[in-house]
Amino acid sequence: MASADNMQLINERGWLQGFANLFRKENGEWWHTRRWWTQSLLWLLIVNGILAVGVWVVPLVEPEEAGGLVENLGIFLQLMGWFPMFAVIIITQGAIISEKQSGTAAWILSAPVSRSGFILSKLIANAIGFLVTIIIMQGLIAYVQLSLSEGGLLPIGPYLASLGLLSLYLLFYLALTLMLGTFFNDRGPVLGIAIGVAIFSMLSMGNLFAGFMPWLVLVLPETLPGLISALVQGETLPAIWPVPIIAISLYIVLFVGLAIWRFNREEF
Amino acid sequence: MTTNELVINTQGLGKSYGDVHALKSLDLKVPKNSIFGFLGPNGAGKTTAIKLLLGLTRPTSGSGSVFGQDIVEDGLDIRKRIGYLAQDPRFYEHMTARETLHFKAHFYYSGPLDEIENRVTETLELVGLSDKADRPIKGFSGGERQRLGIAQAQINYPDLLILDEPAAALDPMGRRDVLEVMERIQKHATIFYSTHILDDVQRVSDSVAILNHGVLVAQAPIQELLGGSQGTIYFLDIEGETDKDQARIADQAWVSSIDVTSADAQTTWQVTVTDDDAAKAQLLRLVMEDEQLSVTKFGRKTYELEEIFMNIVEGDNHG
Repeated sequence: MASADNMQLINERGWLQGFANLFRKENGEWWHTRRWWTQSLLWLLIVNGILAVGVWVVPLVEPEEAGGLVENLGIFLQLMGWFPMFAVIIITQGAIISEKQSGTAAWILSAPVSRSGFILSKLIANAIGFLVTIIIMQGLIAYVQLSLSEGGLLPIGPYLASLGLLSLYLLFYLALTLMLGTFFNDRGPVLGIAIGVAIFSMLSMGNLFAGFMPWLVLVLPETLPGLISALVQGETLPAIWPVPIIAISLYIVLFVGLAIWRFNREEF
Repeated sequence: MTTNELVINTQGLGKSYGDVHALKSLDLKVPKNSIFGFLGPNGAGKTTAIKLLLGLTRPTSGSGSVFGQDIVEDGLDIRKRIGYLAQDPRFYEHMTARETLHFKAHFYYSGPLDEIENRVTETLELVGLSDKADRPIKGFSGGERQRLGIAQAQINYPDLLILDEPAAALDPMGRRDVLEVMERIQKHATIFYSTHILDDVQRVSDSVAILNHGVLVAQAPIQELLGGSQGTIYFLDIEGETDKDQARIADQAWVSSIDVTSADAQTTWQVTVTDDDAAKAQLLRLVMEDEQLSVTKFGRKTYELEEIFMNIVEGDNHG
């Protein structure tokens, strides 16, 4: 017969209490289910599939239409930004709301679990899931494809820097979507606002505000693809390049802080 | 009763949502190692009170403590020692019962893993879910979910088990099993549970509180409550002329009133007494002194909890 005396009590305390167990569960939903391979396969087909067509098929079928390394790399990184950004929003729109609606959040929080631990477990597990299946896996496969087509290894520094910026870009939308999930009880507003932010950011980069609010362009997430484009083309980055990186990083911290603040006030 | 002997102690605990007062000034005292029945009609505020104790919602007035710790400030520490079953327990549908219990156990224990596995296995046996332990919960019936809910609530050997309608979704056999589990757990834990099934409360509880419209209208040990609020009453069915005897009995110092009803040749007295020992020793003997009378039935009136509950709640509604 089991006895409480023979078991070791959890020694987590305070704002991270319950995090390890929740993180294990959230990770399990990525890696012990079919999610990881369906996501990997999906992005393999979409991102690396389109890249493969550009790198291997077009030069054979229509050689005059074939792009060079910079064009192919540019297309790949553009695909890696936009499509996964929408996927992050769609996949995580219900991460908090579904738990609030189903009652599992109340069940979890009736145990010794901090609300910040609940939010952080979702953020970190999903961030790892998306970064591994999208950025790392697809980035690695694309690197192999492009290197093979070029007959030599691509310069690794700018490539890794581009993937790093893409990671920041996806984390921005992940943190935004999770934060919205703590403020609303329906998926509609979460999806609408997150996609609205993305579209607004894209339109702003299309010089919607550049004329009279140039500073705005510097602190929107769509500035990151601009930096990536410059990196890919081997251009010198603009002197203000740290500004968007710092701004987006601060947004992420702000969104996570707001999510924890709001979730601490949630009543079940 | 000192505060050390109380597991739950609230003072004026209240919860309002705008103009709606879900709970008004609750003063609840739950003694250690009791099975405490928390009763009230639908919407009385029982679940709100439970959620306040668990820190799932925050009070708008008053305060409360569990194990002497503040329910707002010390929620995490309090919940380490609590097991909770919600009214409509929800779990992750893709998990099996065994996975659910492992998941819950890991909020309290880090190991050893074989000890945790033993605890999970014995808890599954306790609630009769061993044969379904490895099936996903999405295929479980309401009763099976309830059993799993009871299992997960006690996985951490809680000092306080809070059960919100634990037997609501169970068949009679399931209800019996739950009551047996509760009686077993009482040896080392306090059980605080809300229910509508008054027979169960009368069978296993030692204390009761009744809530109506967010207000605590009664709180007492169950025997005290079942004894009635109007003092101890003895009833006698008597054959014969009782007029002069009634006056004789009413003169006793320990008799406060006699209600008389007659039907056919039989008279029924309901004698309200202030001293139960004196009544027990003398009442029947005094009546039998009149040799013209025959007493066909004698006893102390007992109440059913349902009767008490209806009287209190309806009296409160009309008052």
